[in-house]
Amino acid sequence: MNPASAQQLWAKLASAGLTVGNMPEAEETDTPWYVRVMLGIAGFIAAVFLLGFVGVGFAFVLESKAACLAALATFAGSGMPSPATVLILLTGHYPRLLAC
Amino acid sequence: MSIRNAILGWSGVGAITDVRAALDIAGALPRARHWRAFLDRLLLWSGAVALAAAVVFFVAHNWNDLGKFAKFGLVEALVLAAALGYWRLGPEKAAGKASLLVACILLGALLALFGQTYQTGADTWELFANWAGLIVPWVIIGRFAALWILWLAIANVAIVLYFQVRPGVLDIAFAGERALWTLFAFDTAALAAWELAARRIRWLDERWAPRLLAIASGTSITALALHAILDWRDASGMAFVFYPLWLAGAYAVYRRFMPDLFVLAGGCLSVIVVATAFLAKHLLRGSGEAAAFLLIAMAVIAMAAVCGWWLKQVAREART
Repeated sequence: MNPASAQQLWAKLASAGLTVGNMPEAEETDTPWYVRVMLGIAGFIAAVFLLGFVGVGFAFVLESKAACLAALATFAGSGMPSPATVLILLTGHYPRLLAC
Repeated sequence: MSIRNAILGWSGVGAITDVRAALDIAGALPRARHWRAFLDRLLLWSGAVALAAAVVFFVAHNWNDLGKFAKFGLVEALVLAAALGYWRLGPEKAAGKASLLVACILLGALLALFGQTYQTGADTWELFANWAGLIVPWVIIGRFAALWILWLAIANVAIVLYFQVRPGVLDIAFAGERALWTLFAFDTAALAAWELAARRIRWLDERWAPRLLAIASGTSITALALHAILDWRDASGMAFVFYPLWLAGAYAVYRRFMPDLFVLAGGCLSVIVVATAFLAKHLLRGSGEAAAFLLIAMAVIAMAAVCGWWLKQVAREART
């Protein structure tokens, strides 16, 4: 809707006594759905690479017994899964949790 | 922004006392008349498509119980009935257009039935090519955008199947690339023809159809660009020439001549995907992989942010 027709709509509502004060400034309008879809897909791609970063960058957690134990300890201690535990669960390395 | 969103926005900042009354006065609430028109159209189109699909399933399910003549008789009678329906209802009415659409779909069912009954040895692509060829007169007289889209979809399927059956002698492994080039050329030509024709012909002027064609054209050239980047030894590399050309063309047409945010958003997504593939191909190797993953993720986020910002600018410009 362009500013002129917004003004018209406001005048119509004002004459019906439904408005309070002056017409609000045109705020940030809502983004069309296809732009949001585009951003969503881009976010999905970025998330895949971020997961790749975590998977490759923290591979040493999966390799080392001490780090694995630490991950398990934080999990047991806080009741909240630590990133390393989540990683182990996500990548399906369950045997490693048992092997600790 | 619609009237409805404008009022809801004002109500959100407390500038409207009674939202419902405001929506009612502005005519943003559907009345009984609107509901009736909506239900009318919904039932007409879902009924038409469901009917055509039901015929196919009926024949397929009762294949062994129905004789040859019963099957042909049923489908042919329905094609005839649909064509007669179009004639009786007239070309301007929605019901007439729906009849013609059903007739076009049923003709495909009839061709498939023929091919199944008298194993002609024809390839599958010939079925779709014949189907597309035979409904051309109906599509032309129909003056109906959805019918043209159906025709283009059938032609696309025929092209894909053709290249599955006949990969070139030299490029059995890369028949996919030739199919994609053909699809790209076909859909881009169709898109250009549609946009040009829509300036003169009123019933073609529906944005969803050229947008669909733009998706088809953009997807195929993006796939070709990905192919050229990821398999650079076997790919022809033509995409390195045509992909930038396509992007420039889309930008020129949909930014300057006939602004269309949808196509621009699609182009942005295509650029993001291609750039990501390029980075991944060249960075993800050997040591330092983790850093490369992080870098690419950041690059994708940055590109998406820039695209989102730019599209918002274009949208604001189009509004004023």
